Amino acid sequence: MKLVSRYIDRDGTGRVALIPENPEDMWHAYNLISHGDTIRASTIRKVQTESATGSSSSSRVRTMLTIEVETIDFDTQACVLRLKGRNVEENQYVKMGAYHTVDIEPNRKFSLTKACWDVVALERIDMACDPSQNADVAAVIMHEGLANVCLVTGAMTLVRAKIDVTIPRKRKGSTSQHEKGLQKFYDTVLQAILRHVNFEVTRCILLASPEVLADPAVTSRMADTKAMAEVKALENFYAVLQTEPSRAFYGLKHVLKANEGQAIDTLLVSDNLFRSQSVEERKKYVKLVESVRDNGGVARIFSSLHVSGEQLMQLTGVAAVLRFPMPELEDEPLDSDEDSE
Amino acid sequence: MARHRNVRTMNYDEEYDGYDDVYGHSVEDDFASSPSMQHFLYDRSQEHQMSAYIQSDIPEEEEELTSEDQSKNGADVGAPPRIPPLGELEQAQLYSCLDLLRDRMGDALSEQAGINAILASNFDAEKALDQLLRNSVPSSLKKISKPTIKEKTVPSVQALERSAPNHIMPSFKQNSLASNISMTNPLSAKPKLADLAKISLGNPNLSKSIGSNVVRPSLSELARVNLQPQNLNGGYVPHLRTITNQVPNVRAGISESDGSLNLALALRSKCSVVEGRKRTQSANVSEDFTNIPMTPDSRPIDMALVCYQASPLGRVLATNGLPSTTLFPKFKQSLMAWNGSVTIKPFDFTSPSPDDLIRSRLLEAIRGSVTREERIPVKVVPTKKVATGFSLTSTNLNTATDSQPAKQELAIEETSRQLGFLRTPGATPRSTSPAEREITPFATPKSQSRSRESRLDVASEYAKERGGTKALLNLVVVGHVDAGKSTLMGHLLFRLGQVSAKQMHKYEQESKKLGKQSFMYAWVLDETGEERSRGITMDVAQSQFETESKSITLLDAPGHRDFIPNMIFGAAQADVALLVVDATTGEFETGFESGGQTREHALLVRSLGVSQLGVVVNKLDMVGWSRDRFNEISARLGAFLKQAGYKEQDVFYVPVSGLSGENLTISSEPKLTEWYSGPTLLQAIDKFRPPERALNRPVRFVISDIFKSVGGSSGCCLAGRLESGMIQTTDKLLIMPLNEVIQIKNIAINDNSTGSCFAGDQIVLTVSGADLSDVSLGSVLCDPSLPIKVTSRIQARVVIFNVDIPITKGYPVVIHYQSLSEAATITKLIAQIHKSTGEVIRKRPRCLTKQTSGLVEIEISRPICMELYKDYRELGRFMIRANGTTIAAGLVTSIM
Repeated sequence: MKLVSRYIDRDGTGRVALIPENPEDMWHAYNLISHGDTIRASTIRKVQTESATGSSSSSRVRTMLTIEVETIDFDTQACVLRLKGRNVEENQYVKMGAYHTVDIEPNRKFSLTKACWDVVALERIDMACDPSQNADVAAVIMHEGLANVCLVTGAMTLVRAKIDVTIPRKRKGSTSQHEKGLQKFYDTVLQAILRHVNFEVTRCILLASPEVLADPAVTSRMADTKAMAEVKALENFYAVLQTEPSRAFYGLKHVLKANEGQAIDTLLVSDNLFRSQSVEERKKYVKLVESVRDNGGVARIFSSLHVSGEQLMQLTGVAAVLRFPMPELEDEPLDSDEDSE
Repeated sequence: MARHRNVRTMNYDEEYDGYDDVYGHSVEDDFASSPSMQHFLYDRSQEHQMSAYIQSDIPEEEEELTSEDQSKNGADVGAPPRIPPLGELEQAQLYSCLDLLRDRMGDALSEQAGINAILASNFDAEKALDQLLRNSVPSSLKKISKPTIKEKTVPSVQALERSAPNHIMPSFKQNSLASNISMTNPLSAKPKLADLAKISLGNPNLSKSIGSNVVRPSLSELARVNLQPQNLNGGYVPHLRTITNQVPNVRAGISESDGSLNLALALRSKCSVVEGRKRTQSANVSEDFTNIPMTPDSRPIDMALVCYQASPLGRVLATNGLPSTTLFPKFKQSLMAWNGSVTIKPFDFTSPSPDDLIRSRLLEAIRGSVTREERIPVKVVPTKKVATGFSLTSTNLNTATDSQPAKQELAIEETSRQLGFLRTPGATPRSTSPAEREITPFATPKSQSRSRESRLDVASEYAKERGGTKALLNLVVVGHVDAGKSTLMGHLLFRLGQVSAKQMHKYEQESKKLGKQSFMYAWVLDETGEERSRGITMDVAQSQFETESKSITLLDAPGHRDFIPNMIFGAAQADVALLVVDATTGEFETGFESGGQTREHALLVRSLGVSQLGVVVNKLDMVGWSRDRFNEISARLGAFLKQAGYKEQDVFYVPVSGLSGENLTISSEPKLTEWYSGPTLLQAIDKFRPPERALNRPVRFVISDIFKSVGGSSGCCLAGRLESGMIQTTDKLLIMPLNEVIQIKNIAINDNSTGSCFAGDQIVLTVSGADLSDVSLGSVLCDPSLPIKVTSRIQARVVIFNVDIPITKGYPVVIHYQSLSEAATITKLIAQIHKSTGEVIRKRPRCLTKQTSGLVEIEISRPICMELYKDYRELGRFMIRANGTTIAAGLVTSIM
C-alpha cells in the first residue's frame, strides 16, 4: 500500500489517500474502512441518457465518486473489496443520494475520510505501508491423502487448494493400489502448487506435515514474521493459563476488570472486533488498546485470517496476560452474553 | 364489433347456474382410472339402472373422502408388495413359487398378484399359475359372473390388499374364489359405492334409500350389496360366484370411502359362509344384513369400525371413546358367526407404514437432532402363531346363534379387541416416534422383515455358523518405534507357517542387499517400498494366525509418532492389545519417558476400549536374559498401566526375543528357562478372552479402506470391521453420510468368500450401487431402518492427558474417530467433572488443565457419522490430538 497524502486534524477527523497494490492491501483496506466513512474513488457507473427524440441509451462511464459507506463486503478468496453506499457529491452523471457500489481496484488511488481516526486505524496504515512486511510464503501442509496449499502473508493465510484423496491402504500381498493412489495424490498436489503459487512473487515453499510448527528449526526461521509473533503470543497466553491461571484471562468482562487494575502486560485482540458495525463497540475496544499501551503494556492485534486469530476469536476475541495474579477475577463468572449463544 | 361486445357482456352466470357443480368436477373423483366412453353410455345389455346415472344426490362430503383416499391408494402403487408374516419355510416356498410363476408368465405378472395367488393356492405353484392365467382373461370371468357384475365393478383388489396385507392369507380355501378376489383387473375402474350397490342389487327401491342415507353410506350400502343373496335365494345358484366377486368390490369401495375394512371382512366371510352352506343358509345370512341398513342410525357401528382405520377422522373418533358394539346385537352375531374360534390379528393402521418409518429415520439421522430415547431399537414382537385372515374350517360357523348370549357378549368383546375396535384413547398417535412402539412383524415390508427376522436369530445363526470354529479376536500390536513390533509379529507368523520358507528366503536376500538383514521378519508386514526403505511401519498391516483356541486377526500398528493417526485406527478395531517394549538398556527408558510412544500408545489403546493388554518384553537377549531387567520393566510398567486404567489381572508380561524367536512358540534358551516358566507368547495370546459381540444391534460397519475390486469386476471393495449386527450377501445397506442404498455383492473374510459375517469380523465387502469416488473413509454402512447419526456438533466427556497447554474454548484440535481424522474446535467448556465420581466440580470453567476431566462441546469441520457411547461403545469413543500429541480421549454423550 502506498500512502499518498494524509491530513488528519488534532481532533481525529481527516482524510487519507492510499493506493492499494496487492491482495493483502485489500485486507488492510477492509479493516480500515468502516460504516459511515466516506470514500472517494474512481469507479465505473452505468449512465442512462435520454436523447431529444425520447429514445434512451445507456453507457458505462468512468467517474470519480464520493460515497458514504453503508455495507462493506470482502471476499477473502479473491481479495476483492466492495463498498456500497450513497453518493454525497453530485456530479454530471450521478445524482446526490443515489446508491453506488465501488470496487476498490488495485493501483488506483482512493481517499478515505473518517470522522475519527483512532490509534488502531492509524497503526493499520503504518503496517500496510511497511514494505518489509511484504513477504509471501507458500505452504503445503500434507497428511496422507489430504493436502492444503496455502499462501501465508503478513496478515493472511489463504487456503488456495484443498486436496482430499482416498488412498487405498496397504493390503496383505498387494501394495500396488496403495502405491498408485499415493502417486496420484502427489501428482494432484504438484498440479495444485503449479496452479496456485505465483513463483515470481513467492520466495519459498514450505512442504510440511501438520506438526511442522512444533519443529524448532522451522520456528526459528519464521520467528520474525508477524504471523509467528501472533502464534507465539497466543502460546504464551496458554502457557501462563496452564501454570498460573490467575494471570491469564479471556473474555471482555475479565479483561476490562484486569485493565482497571492496570494489570495487563500483553493484550491480545482480534481485528474482528474493530470491524464491528457499531461505533460504540469499536470505540470500546480502541479505548482498551489505548489504555493498555498507556499503562506500558503491549497490545497485539491479531489478524482474523490467520489460524491464531481464528483461535483467539473463538476465545471471545480478547485475552490478556497480566503482570501480577488477580485471583479474585477467577471466581467471577464468565460474561453471560458471550456464553449464552 | 358490436356483436362481439354483445357476446362479451352476456351474463353466463345465469345460464350456467351450477356450472361448477358439473364441470368443476373431475371424473377422477369418481374413477380410479379415466372411464371409457362406455361408462357414460346407456347400454341395455348391461342392465344399467337409470338411477346409477343420477349424480345429484351424491353429497359433496363423500366425494372428497373418495378422492382423498384414491390419492392415497395412488401413492401406494409404488410400494413394494406386502407379504403377510410367514415362517422361514413358507417364505422360501413363496419365493420359489414366485420364481416359477415368473418363469412361466414373464414380467407381466405383478409381484403382488403372484404372491396372492401363491398364498391362495397354498404354495402350490401349479394351482396359482392356473388361477393367474384364468384371471388374466377377463372376458371369461365376465361370462361366469353374469351381467350383474360389470367390468367397472371388478375391484382393484390390489389397492385394498396393500392396505391390509395380513388379510390376504392362505385361508382362502376355495381356490377359485380366492383367485377371483385376489385377481386384479388392471383395467377396472373403481366404482362409486352407490353405483356399485345399485347395480348389484338391481333394486330401484333400495337405491332410492341410498340417496337418503348418503352421509354415512358405507355400511348401509354394504349391507345392501349383501342383499344380493336374496336374489340368489330366488334360485340362482350359479351366481354364488358373483357375490364373492362383489365382495371385494365392496371392500375396495369401503376402504376408499371410509376404510372400514373389518366390515368388509365380515361380509366376505359372510359370503364364504354363503358359499359354504349353499343357498340353504344364505337366506338367513342375508337377513342379518338387511337389518343393518334399516337401522336408522348406523353411526355406532361406524364408530367401531373407524377405530382402526387409517383416516385421521377415524382416529379422532376412536380416541373419543365412543360406544362400539352396544347397539348392534345383530351385527355382533354376525361377527360371532365368522369369528368362531379363530383369532384374528388385524393390520394396525395406526402404526406408521414401514416406508414412513424408514424415511422419518433417514431424515432424523440427517438432521441429527434426535434425542436418545427415540433411538431405542425397535422391539420386535416375536411372531406368534396368529391366524391372520379367515379360516373357513372353523366348525362352529353355523352354530353361533342366539342361544348363548352371555358368552357371545364376552366373545364379541374379545373379538372386537382383537380387531382393534376397542382402541383405548391412549393409543399412540401416528405422530409420535415409531420406535417407541412395538411394531408388529408383519407391519414391515419384505426387505425390512427379512433383516428384522434375521436379526432375531442372529444369535442362533451365529451359533450355527461359528459354533464349531475358534473364537475370533482382533489383536493390535503397539509400542514405541523400533521396539520390534513388526519383527516380532513377522517372526511369529513365520513360525506359525503363515509365511512360506521360500518367501522368507526372498525377504532375507532382499533385506541383505539393502544392508538391513535384521528387518527381514518385519518385511512380512511392512510391504510397501517406503516402509522397507525407511525401516519403519507406516500404516497398519493386517494378517491372520491361529492359536489353539482362537483365530487372531493381527493388526500391526506403526510406532512412529508421525503415524499415530494410523495407530489409532488400528487400535480402534482391536479387542485386545500387545504392548511391545524394548528391554535394551536405555531403549526402554526412551520409549517410556515422556515423549516416548510407550505411554501414549498404552493410554490410547486403553482409551479406545481395550482392557486386556499383553506386555511383550522384547530383545531380552540383548541384556543376557536378565531376570532383574525383566522384573524392573514389569514393575515400572505395572505401576503406570494401573494408573492408566488397566486392571492388574488383565495385564501379563512375557519375555521374548523377536529376532531370534525365543519364547514365541517355544522357549528353549536355558538362560531364560532357568527363571521363567510362564507361557510363551502364543500361549499367552491364546489366553485372551474374546469380548462380547454386539450381534443383536443394528448393522454398523465403518469403512476404513476403499479400493477397486481386484477381480476386475465393477463395484468397489470396502474394508473394515463390522461393529455390530450381521451382514449377508444381497443385503441392502445404507451408506452414511452419503445417504445412498448399496447392495452387498460379496463378503470376504481373510480373502475367503463367505455368505455372512458377524459383529467383530474384519471383512472386505464388494458392493454395488454407490460410486467409488463418492465414498469417503469413515463413512458407515448401516441398517436402512436404523441409520447412524450424522453430525458436526457433539457433546462429549473428555479426559485430558498430560498436556502442556490447557484446553480452552476455541481450541483447535484434530479428532481421531475410527479411520477418520477431522479438524475440530472445542466450542464450549460446559463443566469440569471429577475424574472418577463424575461429579461436577465447576460449571463453565475457563480452561481444562492436564489430568482433569470435563464436559465439552465440539464442533467438527464437516459432518461425520457418530454414535453415542452408551449405544455403541466402540463408535462412541474418539481421541483428541493437537500439535502432534494426544491431548485427550473423549466419549460422545450427546449428538446435537
